[in-house]
Amino acid sequence: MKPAPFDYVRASDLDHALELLAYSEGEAKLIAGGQSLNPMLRLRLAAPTLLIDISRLPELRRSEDSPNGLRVGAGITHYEIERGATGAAGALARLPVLGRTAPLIGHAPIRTRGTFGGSIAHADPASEWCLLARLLDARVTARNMDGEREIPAETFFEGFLTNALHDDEILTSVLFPSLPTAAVVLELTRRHGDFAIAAVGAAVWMTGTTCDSFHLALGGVGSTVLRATAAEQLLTAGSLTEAAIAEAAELAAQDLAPSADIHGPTEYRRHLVKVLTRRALSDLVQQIEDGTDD
Amino acid sequence: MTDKHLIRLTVNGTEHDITVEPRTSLADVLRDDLGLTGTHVTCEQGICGACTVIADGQAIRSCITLAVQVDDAKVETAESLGSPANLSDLQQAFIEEHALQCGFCTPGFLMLATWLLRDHPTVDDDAMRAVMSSNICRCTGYRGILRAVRRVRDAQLAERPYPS
Repeated sequence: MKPAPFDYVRASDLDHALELLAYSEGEAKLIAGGQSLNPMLRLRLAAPTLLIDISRLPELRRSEDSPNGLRVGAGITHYEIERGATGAAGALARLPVLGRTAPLIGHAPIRTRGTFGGSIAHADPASEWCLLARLLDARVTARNMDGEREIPAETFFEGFLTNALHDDEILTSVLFPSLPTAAVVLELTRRHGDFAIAAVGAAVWMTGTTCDSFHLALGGVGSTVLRATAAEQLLTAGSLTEAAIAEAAELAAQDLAPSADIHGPTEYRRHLVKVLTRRALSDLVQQIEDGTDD
Repeated sequence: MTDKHLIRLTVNGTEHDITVEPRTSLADVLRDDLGLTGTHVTCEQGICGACTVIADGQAIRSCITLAVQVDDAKVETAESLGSPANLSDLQQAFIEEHALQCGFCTPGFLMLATWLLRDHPTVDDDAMRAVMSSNICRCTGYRGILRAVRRVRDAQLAERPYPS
């Protein structure tokens, strides 16, 4: 189908975008790459009266490394992250898992347009950036005409395709406050580029040879990205033996209630979580043995 | 009724000033306003890639790109690749390697491959296969397409001067 009619304006700067958004009283939608929004407009699942194009705002396309952590601009494209180009160059060096995760997102011609912040704001539980944000306890910066606030990933992803932004807010950047010693993101798709049927992220923080803490995040198995806290506690309290990994995988899949769909019944996704958790933790062990994340 | 926008697109080297509705895709502008029907619209949802063009040096899906989003861009379509008398290397390889049957997906594959070899001329077989699997072909089973791209990649690499 073709989209319903709407107006369009390219914001001249961030303040201009914020003004337009505020005055639209919820009738406008922001567009950056439009790789999720345009298909929705074509299916008429969304019918805004105004699109505000923020794709070229340089304020949104920088990344910054500081003692507070790594900040990634919302307007950086997946492909720029994959190639370590423009605003993403420094970010890749600081958080290499970004570069390994980007190629998992859709297909290359989608990655050239789609943006990091757009994906986070879209809040799809199968999204790789949402998984990584939740895995690493990222903090989302939301800005409106009155100022800024930081929203932790845990509260930012409210539900299926639902985020905690107010109608007048723009997601400007995402901060990764604590960079892990090693991190892995794995997903299961039937064909390369499909939406993940299930995805698992694993990260470890170490001091010397001691593992201080583990995080385990699960995507595509609930209405939002989940953290497997029981498995995390087991791993953090003990060590990364094969037995511990197997037990963590069981714990991660417990209490999950993923939907049944054309890909398979509920039990299928629970099974995938176990398999992917074992693989992700084994990959993590390999990274640690190889001398962490270079 | 929404206002139309005047946009400028440089398509295959020629500047065009066109008045478009904001909701019109780049694919529809190329085909309907500029008569460049080499770009094919198929799924119109950004899934199949038959609509792939190159905008400002990047492969994009023109059916899920609004024309207004690429105002001021330099766009390359399948028409830029060559002419019947003077086919591009990829076009020639596609013929010789049986990389097309009905031909409906072919412009999209050619633009994707053209971009890939330009952006990443030393791409290895696995990465090349991953990128080329972006698009859907229902006829060929893909092997001819991969052979064609591999052949042109290798030929282009062989022509490059050795780094000094």
